[in-house]
Amino acid sequence: MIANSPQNCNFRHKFFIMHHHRLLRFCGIGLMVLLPLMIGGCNESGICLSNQHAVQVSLISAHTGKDTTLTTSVFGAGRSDSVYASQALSKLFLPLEFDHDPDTTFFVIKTKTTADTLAFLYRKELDFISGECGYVFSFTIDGVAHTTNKIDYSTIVYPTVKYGEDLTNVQVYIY
Amino acid sequence: MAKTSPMFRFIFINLVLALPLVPTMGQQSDSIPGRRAQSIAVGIDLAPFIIRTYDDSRTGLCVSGRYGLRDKIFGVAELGYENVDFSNNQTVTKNETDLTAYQYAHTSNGSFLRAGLDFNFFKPYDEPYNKDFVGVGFRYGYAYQEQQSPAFIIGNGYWNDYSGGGGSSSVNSHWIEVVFALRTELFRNFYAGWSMRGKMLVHSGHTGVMEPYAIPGYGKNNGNLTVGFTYSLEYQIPFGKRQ
Repeated sequence: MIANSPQNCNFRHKFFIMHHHRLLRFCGIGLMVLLPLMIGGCNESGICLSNQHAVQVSLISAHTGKDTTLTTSVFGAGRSDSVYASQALSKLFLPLEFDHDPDTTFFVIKTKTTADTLAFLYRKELDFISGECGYVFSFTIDGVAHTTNKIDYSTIVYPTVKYGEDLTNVQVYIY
Repeated sequence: MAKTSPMFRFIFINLVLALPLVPTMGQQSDSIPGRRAQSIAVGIDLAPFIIRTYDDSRTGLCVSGRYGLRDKIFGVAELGYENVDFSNNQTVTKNETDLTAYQYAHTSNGSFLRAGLDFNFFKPYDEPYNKDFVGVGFRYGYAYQEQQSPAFIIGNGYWNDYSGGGGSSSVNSHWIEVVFALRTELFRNFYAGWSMRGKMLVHSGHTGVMEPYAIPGYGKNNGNLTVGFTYSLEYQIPFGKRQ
Protein backbone atom coordinates (compact mmCIF):
# COMPACT_ATOMS: atom_id res chain seq x y z
CA MET A 1 0.00 0.00 0.00
CA ILE A 2 1.17 3.45 -0.80
CA ALA A 3 0.45 4.72 2.68
CA ASN A 4 2.97 2.29 4.16
CA SER A 5 5.60 2.32 1.42
CA PRO A 6 9.24 3.08 2.34
CA GLN A 7 9.21 6.11 0.05
CA ASN A 8 6.24 7.53 1.83
CA CYS A 9 7.85 6.91 5.20
CA ASN A 10 11.04 8.63 4.06
CA PHE A 11 9.04 11.57 2.87
CA ARG A 12 7.30 11.83 6.16
CA HIS A 13 10.55 11.43 8.07
CA LYS A 14 12.16 14.09 5.99
CA PHE A 15 9.51 16.74 6.30
CA PHE A 16 7.93 16.07 9.64
CA ILE A 17 9.42 15.92 13.02
CA MET A 18 7.08 13.27 14.26
CA HIS A 19 7.59 13.26 17.86
CA HIS A 20 5.68 13.61 20.95
CA HIS A 21 2.08 13.07 20.27
CA ARG A 22 1.39 13.74 23.94
CA LEU A 23 2.53 17.34 23.65
CA LEU A 24 0.62 17.82 20.45
CA ARG A 25 -2.50 16.47 22.07
CA PHE A 26 -1.86 18.80 24.96
CA CYS A 27 -1.57 21.72 22.55
CA GLY A 28 -4.83 20.81 20.90
CA ILE A 29 -6.64 20.43 24.18
CA GLY A 30 -5.13 23.67 25.38
CA LEU A 31 -6.43 25.51 22.37
CA MET A 32 -9.91 24.25 23.01
CA VAL A 33 -9.69 25.19 26.68
CA LEU A 34 -8.45 28.66 25.84
CA LEU A 35 -11.17 29.36 23.31
CA PRO A 36 -13.93 30.20 25.78
CA LEU A 37 -11.53 32.30 27.83
CA MET A 38 -10.42 34.25 24.80
CA ILE A 39 -13.91 34.78 23.47
CA GLY A 40 -15.17 35.82 26.88
CA GLY A 41 -12.31 38.20 27.42
CA CYS A 42 -12.52 39.70 23.99
CA ASN A 43 -16.23 40.37 24.08
CA GLU A 44 -15.93 42.64 27.05
CA SER A 45 -17.61 45.94 26.42
CA GLY A 46 -17.73 48.95 28.63
CA ILE A 47 -21.03 49.97 30.13
CA CYS A 48 -21.55 53.69 30.21
CA LEU A 49 -23.68 55.09 33.02
CA SER A 50 -26.46 57.57 32.58
CA ASN A 51 -27.35 60.68 34.59
CA GLN A 52 -23.79 61.27 35.79
CA HIS A 53 -23.85 65.08 35.58
CA ALA A 54 -26.61 65.61 38.11
CA VAL A 55 -26.44 66.99 41.62
CA GLN A 56 -28.20 64.71 44.08
CA VAL A 57 -30.45 66.73 46.37
CA SER A 58 -32.14 65.15 49.36
CA LEU A 59 -35.26 66.78 50.72
CA ILE A 60 -35.32 67.05 54.51
CA SER A 61 -38.13 68.25 56.72
CA ALA A 62 -37.08 71.44 58.54
CA HIS A 63 -39.44 70.41 61.35
CA THR A 64 -38.33 66.86 61.99
CA GLY A 65 -34.87 66.80 60.40
CA LYS A 66 -35.82 63.58 58.59
CA ASP A 67 -36.22 62.70 54.93
CA THR A 68 -39.45 63.96 53.49
CA THR A 69 -41.38 63.85 50.24
CA LEU A 70 -42.54 66.81 48.21
CA THR A 71 -44.90 66.79 45.27
CA THR A 72 -43.21 69.12 42.85
CA SER A 73 -42.33 70.06 39.31
CA VAL A 74 -38.77 71.09 38.56
CA PHE A 75 -37.68 73.21 35.60
CA GLY A 76 -34.36 74.48 34.45
CA ALA A 77 -34.38 78.28 34.46
CA GLY A 78 -35.61 79.52 31.11
CA ARG A 79 -36.82 76.08 30.08
CA SER A 80 -40.39 75.07 29.43
CA ASP A 81 -39.71 71.34 29.58
CA SER A 82 -39.34 69.93 33.05
CA VAL A 83 -36.80 67.79 34.80
CA TYR A 84 -39.65 66.44 36.93
CA ALA A 85 -43.36 66.94 36.31
CA SER A 86 -45.67 66.81 39.35
CA GLN A 87 -43.97 63.96 41.07
CA ALA A 88 -43.72 63.04 44.73
CA LEU A 89 -40.01 63.09 45.38
CA SER A 90 -37.66 62.70 48.29
CA LYS A 91 -34.52 63.01 46.18
CA LEU A 92 -33.86 65.17 43.13
CA PHE A 93 -31.27 64.55 40.41
CA LEU A 94 -30.62 67.96 38.88
CA PRO A 95 -28.40 68.03 35.77
CA LEU A 96 -25.79 70.77 35.71
CA GLU A 97 -25.15 72.90 32.65
CA PHE A 98 -21.88 72.54 30.75
CA ASP A 99 -21.59 75.86 28.98
CA HIS A 100 -22.20 78.58 31.54
CA ASP A 101 -19.40 80.90 32.56
CA PRO A 102 -19.18 81.26 35.49
CA ASP A 103 -20.60 77.80 36.08
CA THR A 104 -23.99 78.29 37.60
CA THR A 105 -27.19 76.40 36.98
CA PHE A 106 -30.61 77.62 38.12
CA PHE A 107 -33.68 75.50 38.75
CA VAL A 108 -37.22 76.43 39.62
CA ILE A 109 -38.93 74.13 42.10
CA LYS A 110 -42.68 74.50 41.95
CA THR A 111 -45.32 73.17 44.26
CA LYS A 112 -49.08 73.78 44.05
CA THR A 113 -48.89 76.89 46.17
CA THR A 114 -45.45 78.38 45.72
CA ALA A 115 -42.12 78.22 43.93
CA ASP A 116 -38.46 78.54 44.80
CA THR A 117 -35.36 79.14 42.75
CA LEU A 118 -32.39 76.93 43.56
CA ALA A 119 -28.96 77.77 42.16
CA PHE A 120 -25.72 75.80 42.17
CA LEU A 121 -22.34 77.44 41.77
CA TYR A 122 -19.63 75.01 40.77
CA ARG A 123 -16.37 74.30 38.97
CA LYS A 124 -16.10 71.64 36.30
CA GLU A 125 -13.24 69.46 35.14
CA LEU A 126 -12.91 67.27 32.10
CA ASP A 127 -12.36 63.62 33.00
CA PHE A 128 -11.70 60.61 30.86
CA ILE A 129 -13.79 57.57 31.78
CA SER A 130 -12.90 54.78 29.40
CA GLY A 131 -12.29 53.91 25.81
CA GLU A 132 -15.95 53.06 25.37
CA CYS A 133 -17.49 56.04 27.14
CA GLY A 134 -14.97 58.75 26.44
CA TYR A 135 -15.14 61.95 28.44
CA VAL A 136 -17.38 63.32 31.15
CA PHE A 137 -17.33 66.36 33.36
CA SER A 138 -16.78 66.13 37.07
CA PHE A 139 -18.03 68.98 39.24
CA THR A 140 -17.15 70.55 42.54
CA ILE A 141 -20.02 72.45 44.11
CA ASP A 142 -18.84 75.67 45.71
CA GLY A 143 -22.15 77.13 46.76
CA VAL A 144 -25.91 76.76 46.82
CA ALA A 145 -28.30 79.72 46.79
CA HIS A 146 -32.09 79.72 46.96
CA THR A 147 -35.21 81.71 47.68
CA THR A 148 -37.03 80.92 50.90
CA ASN A 149 -40.67 80.38 50.05
CA LYS A 150 -40.71 76.67 50.66
CA ILE A 151 -37.00 76.11 51.31
CA ASP A 152 -35.72 76.90 54.79
CA TYR A 153 -32.02 76.35 54.25
CA SER A 154 -29.52 74.10 52.47
CA THR A 155 -26.18 72.48 53.17
CA ILE A 156 -23.53 70.91 50.97
CA VAL A 157 -22.76 67.48 52.39
CA TYR A 158 -20.59 66.12 49.57
CA PRO A 159 -19.35 68.72 47.07
CA THR A 160 -18.08 66.36 44.36
CA VAL A 161 -20.25 65.18 41.48
CA LYS A 162 -18.24 62.44 39.90
CA TYR A 163 -18.94 59.70 37.39
CA GLY A 164 -19.84 56.41 39.03
CA GLU A 165 -20.54 57.86 42.47
CA ASP A 166 -24.01 57.74 43.96
CA LEU A 167 -23.97 60.09 46.91
CA THR A 168 -26.15 62.90 48.18
CA ASN A 169 -24.46 66.20 47.43
CA VAL A 170 -26.87 68.72 48.91
CA GLN A 171 -29.52 68.57 51.61
CA VAL A 172 -32.41 71.00 51.20
CA TYR A 173 -34.57 71.61 54.26
CA ILE A 174 -38.17 72.46 53.46
CA TYR A 175 -41.00 73.79 55.57
CA MET B 1 -26.53 38.25 3.85
CA ALA B 2 -26.40 37.67 7.55
CA LYS B 3 -23.21 38.78 9.25
CA THR B 4 -21.11 35.96 10.64
CA SER B 5 -21.00 35.86 14.41
CA PRO B 6 -17.58 36.91 15.80
CA MET B 7 -17.61 33.80 17.98
CA PHE B 8 -18.04 31.46 15.02
CA ARG B 9 -15.35 33.28 13.07
CA PHE B 10 -13.05 32.98 16.04
CA ILE B 11 -13.70 29.26 16.51
CA PHE B 12 -13.22 28.65 12.81
CA ILE B 13 -9.87 30.42 12.79
CA ASN B 14 -8.68 28.49 15.81
CA LEU B 15 -9.71 25.19 14.26
CA VAL B 16 -7.77 26.08 11.14
CA LEU B 17 -4.78 26.89 13.31
CA ALA B 18 -5.11 23.60 15.15
CA LEU B 19 -5.35 21.49 11.98
CA PRO B 20 -1.62 21.26 11.30
CA LEU B 21 -1.21 19.61 14.68
CA VAL B 22 -3.41 16.67 13.76
CA PRO B 23 -1.32 14.81 11.13
CA THR B 24 1.69 14.45 13.40
CA MET B 25 -0.17 13.03 16.36
CA GLY B 26 0.89 9.52 17.20
CA GLN B 27 4.10 9.67 15.21
CA GLN B 28 7.55 8.80 16.46
CA SER B 29 10.64 10.95 16.51
CA ASP B 30 13.31 10.83 13.82
CA SER B 31 15.77 12.98 15.72
CA ILE B 32 19.33 12.06 14.91
CA PRO B 33 21.22 10.89 17.99
CA GLY B 34 24.27 12.94 18.81
CA ARG B 35 23.15 16.12 17.07
CA ARG B 36 21.27 18.90 18.61
CA ALA B 37 20.92 22.39 17.24
CA GLN B 38 21.21 25.45 19.37
CA SER B 39 19.63 28.21 17.44
CA ILE B 40 17.98 31.51 16.96
CA ALA B 41 14.32 31.50 16.08
CA VAL B 42 12.22 34.22 14.50
CA GLY B 43 8.47 34.21 14.54
CA ILE B 44 5.23 36.01 14.07
CA ASP B 45 2.30 36.26 16.44
CA LEU B 46 -1.06 35.49 14.87
CA ALA B 47 -3.06 36.91 17.77
CA PRO B 48 -3.31 40.46 16.33
CA PHE B 49 -4.88 39.02 13.17
CA ILE B 50 -7.32 36.99 15.24
CA ILE B 51 -8.20 40.00 17.37
CA ARG B 52 -8.86 41.95 14.20
CA THR B 53 -11.67 39.54 13.24
CA TYR B 54 -13.81 40.51 16.22
CA ASP B 55 -12.45 43.96 17.08
CA ASP B 56 -11.90 45.89 13.87
CA SER B 57 -10.78 48.97 15.77
CA ARG B 58 -7.40 47.37 16.46
CA THR B 59 -4.76 46.55 13.86
CA GLY B 60 -1.46 45.12 14.97
CA LEU B 61 1.62 43.15 14.13
CA CYS B 62 4.08 41.38 16.40
CA VAL B 63 7.31 39.59 15.53
CA SER B 64 9.52 37.73 17.92
CA GLY B 65 13.06 36.48 18.30
CA ARG B 66 14.24 33.68 20.54
CA TYR B 67 17.77 32.75 21.45
CA GLY B 68 18.76 29.56 23.23
CA LEU B 69 20.96 30.63 26.12
CA ARG B 70 21.06 27.15 27.62
CA ASP B 71 19.35 23.89 26.80
CA LYS B 72 16.27 24.90 28.72
CA ILE B 73 16.60 28.68 28.95
CA PHE B 74 15.70 31.05 26.15
CA GLY B 75 16.04 34.78 25.81
CA VAL B 76 12.97 36.20 24.09
CA ALA B 77 12.24 39.58 22.52
CA GLU B 78 8.90 40.53 20.99
CA LEU B 79 8.51 43.69 18.96
CA GLY B 80 5.20 44.99 17.72
CA TYR B 81 2.97 47.78 16.53
CA GLU B 82 -0.67 48.56 17.08
CA ASN B 83 -3.06 51.07 15.60
CA VAL B 84 -6.38 51.80 17.26
CA ASP B 85 -9.12 53.63 15.42
CA PHE B 86 -12.17 53.57 17.61
CA SER B 87 -15.41 55.46 17.62
CA ASN B 88 -18.47 55.06 19.75
CA ASN B 89 -21.97 56.42 19.53
CA GLN B 90 -23.87 55.12 22.47
CA THR B 91 -27.05 56.31 24.09
CA VAL B 92 -27.80 55.20 27.61
CA THR B 93 -31.43 55.29 28.61
CA LYS B 94 -32.46 55.25 32.22
CA ASN B 95 -36.01 56.37 31.59
CA GLU B 96 -37.93 58.44 29.08
CA THR B 97 -36.57 61.73 30.31
CA ASP B 98 -33.05 60.55 31.06
CA LEU B 99 -31.05 59.99 27.90
CA THR B 100 -27.31 60.30 28.00
CA ALA B 101 -25.37 60.13 24.76
CA TYR B 102 -21.73 59.19 24.50
CA GLN B 103 -20.09 60.05 21.21
CA TYR B 104 -16.41 59.57 21.16
CA ALA B 105 -13.61 58.93 18.67
CA HIS B 106 -10.13 57.82 19.53
CA THR B 107 -7.04 57.09 17.46
CA SER B 108 -3.72 55.74 18.62
CA ASN B 109 -0.49 54.56 17.03
CA GLY B 110 2.16 52.89 19.09
CA SER B 111 4.94 50.37 19.30
CA PHE B 112 5.98 47.99 22.01
CA LEU B 113 8.82 45.77 23.10
CA ARG B 114 8.55 42.77 25.39
CA ALA B 115 11.70 41.08 26.55
CA GLY B 116 12.39 38.30 29.01
CA LEU B 117 13.26 34.67 29.53
CA ASP B 118 11.51 31.37 28.95
CA PHE B 119 12.25 28.23 30.94
CA ASN B 120 11.47 24.86 29.41
CA PHE B 121 10.28 22.26 31.91
CA PHE B 122 9.50 19.68 29.27
CA LYS B 123 11.58 16.50 29.67
CA PRO B 124 10.81 13.96 26.98
CA TYR B 125 12.69 11.02 28.53
CA ASP B 126 11.96 8.76 25.61
CA GLU B 127 13.03 11.39 23.07
CA PRO B 128 16.22 13.09 24.24
CA TYR B 129 16.47 15.35 21.20
CA ASN B 130 12.94 16.59 21.28
CA LYS B 131 12.90 20.41 21.06
CA ASP B 132 9.31 21.00 22.06
CA PHE B 133 8.57 23.46 24.80
CA VAL B 134 6.30 23.40 27.81
CA GLY B 135 7.30 26.01 30.26
CA VAL B 136 6.97 29.35 31.88
CA GLY B 137 8.59 32.70 31.41
CA PHE B 138 8.45 36.32 32.30
CA ARG B 139 8.52 39.51 30.29
CA TYR B 140 9.05 43.17 30.85
CA GLY B 141 6.95 45.21 28.46
CA TYR B 142 7.25 48.80 27.34
CA ALA B 143 4.99 50.67 24.93
CA TYR B 144 5.02 54.16 23.52
CA GLN B 145 1.97 55.49 21.74
CA GLU B 146 0.63 58.74 20.34
CA GLN B 147 -3.10 59.17 20.75
CA GLN B 148 -5.76 61.74 20.15
CA SER B 149 -9.45 62.19 20.36
CA PRO B 150 -10.37 64.20 17.27
CA ALA B 151 -13.97 64.67 18.38
CA PHE B 152 -16.13 63.92 21.35
CA ILE B 153 -19.51 64.94 22.64
CA ILE B 154 -20.54 64.80 26.25
CA GLY B 155 -24.25 64.33 26.39
CA ASN B 156 -26.22 66.10 29.08
CA GLY B 157 -29.74 64.79 28.70
CA TYR B 158 -31.38 68.08 29.67
CA TRP B 159 -29.14 71.03 28.93
CA ASN B 160 -26.95 71.52 25.88
CA ASP B 161 -24.37 68.86 25.09
CA TYR B 162 -20.71 69.74 25.09
CA SER B 163 -18.62 69.26 21.95
CA GLY B 164 -14.87 69.11 22.11
CA GLY B 165 -11.79 67.76 20.50
CA GLY B 166 -8.34 67.10 21.77
CA GLY B 167 -4.85 67.35 20.38
CA SER B 168 -2.47 64.47 20.45
CA SER B 169 -0.82 63.23 23.59
CA SER B 170 1.80 60.60 24.26
CA VAL B 171 1.64 57.63 26.59
CA ASN B 172 4.48 55.60 28.05
CA SER B 173 3.45 52.29 29.60
CA HIS B 174 5.38 49.66 31.49
CA TRP B 175 4.14 46.26 32.52
CA ILE B 176 5.32 42.80 33.50
CA GLU B 177 4.04 39.45 32.34
CA VAL B 178 4.08 35.90 33.59
CA VAL B 179 3.91 33.50 30.67
CA PHE B 180 2.79 29.91 30.33
CA ALA B 181 3.63 28.59 26.89
CA LEU B 182 3.53 25.50 24.73
CA ARG B 183 5.43 25.06 21.51
CA THR B 184 5.92 22.12 19.20
CA GLU B 185 7.84 21.46 16.03
CA LEU B 186 5.41 20.93 13.17
CA PHE B 187 8.00 20.58 10.41
CA ARG B 188 11.74 20.57 10.62
CA ASN B 189 12.65 23.87 12.29
CA PHE B 190 9.10 25.21 12.01
CA TYR B 191 7.30 25.63 15.29
CA ALA B 192 3.76 26.49 16.34
CA GLY B 193 2.72 27.37 19.82
CA TRP B 194 0.52 29.40 22.04
CA SER B 195 0.96 31.19 25.28
CA MET B 196 -1.29 32.54 27.99
CA ARG B 197 -0.05 35.57 29.88
CA GLY B 198 -0.96 37.28 33.08
CA LYS B 199 -0.11 40.97 32.73
CA MET B 200 0.23 43.62 35.36
CA LEU B 201 0.41 47.26 34.35
CA VAL B 202 3.09 48.88 36.48
CA HIS B 203 2.92 52.41 35.14
CA SER B 204 1.09 54.26 32.40
CA GLY B 205 1.97 57.90 32.16
CA HIS B 206 0.16 60.19 29.76
CA THR B 207 0.55 63.86 29.00
CA GLY B 208 -3.15 64.63 28.50
CA VAL B 209 -6.40 63.91 30.25
CA MET B 210 -7.19 61.02 27.97
CA GLU B 211 -6.17 57.52 28.99
CA PRO B 212 -5.44 55.01 26.24
CA TYR B 213 -8.23 52.78 25.02
CA ALA B 214 -5.70 50.03 24.40
CA ILE B 215 -1.99 49.82 25.11
CA PRO B 216 0.09 48.21 22.35
CA GLY B 217 1.35 44.83 23.51
CA TYR B 218 -0.65 44.99 26.73
CA GLY B 219 -4.23 44.98 25.48
CA LYS B 220 -7.35 46.88 26.37
CA ASN B 221 -6.78 49.29 29.18
CA ASN B 222 -9.51 48.00 31.47
CA GLY B 223 -7.41 47.81 34.58
CA ASN B 224 -4.02 47.03 36.02
CA LEU B 225 -4.42 43.30 35.49
CA THR B 226 -5.31 41.54 32.30
CA VAL B 227 -4.82 38.28 30.48
CA GLY B 228 -3.28 38.00 27.04
CA PHE B 229 -2.75 35.26 24.51
CA THR B 230 -0.44 34.64 21.63
CA TYR B 231 -0.48 32.15 18.78
CA SER B 232 2.97 32.00 17.29
CA LEU B 233 4.58 30.52 14.22
CA GLU B 234 8.37 30.36 14.36
CA TYR B 235 11.27 29.35 12.18
CA GLN B 236 14.36 28.16 14.00
CA ILE B 237 17.65 29.01 12.35
CA PRO B 238 20.24 26.34 13.23
CA PHE B 239 23.59 27.97 13.79
CA GLY B 240 25.50 25.49 15.87
CA LYS B 241 25.84 21.82 16.62
CA ARG B 242 26.52 20.05 19.79
CA GLN B 243 27.78 16.52 19.98
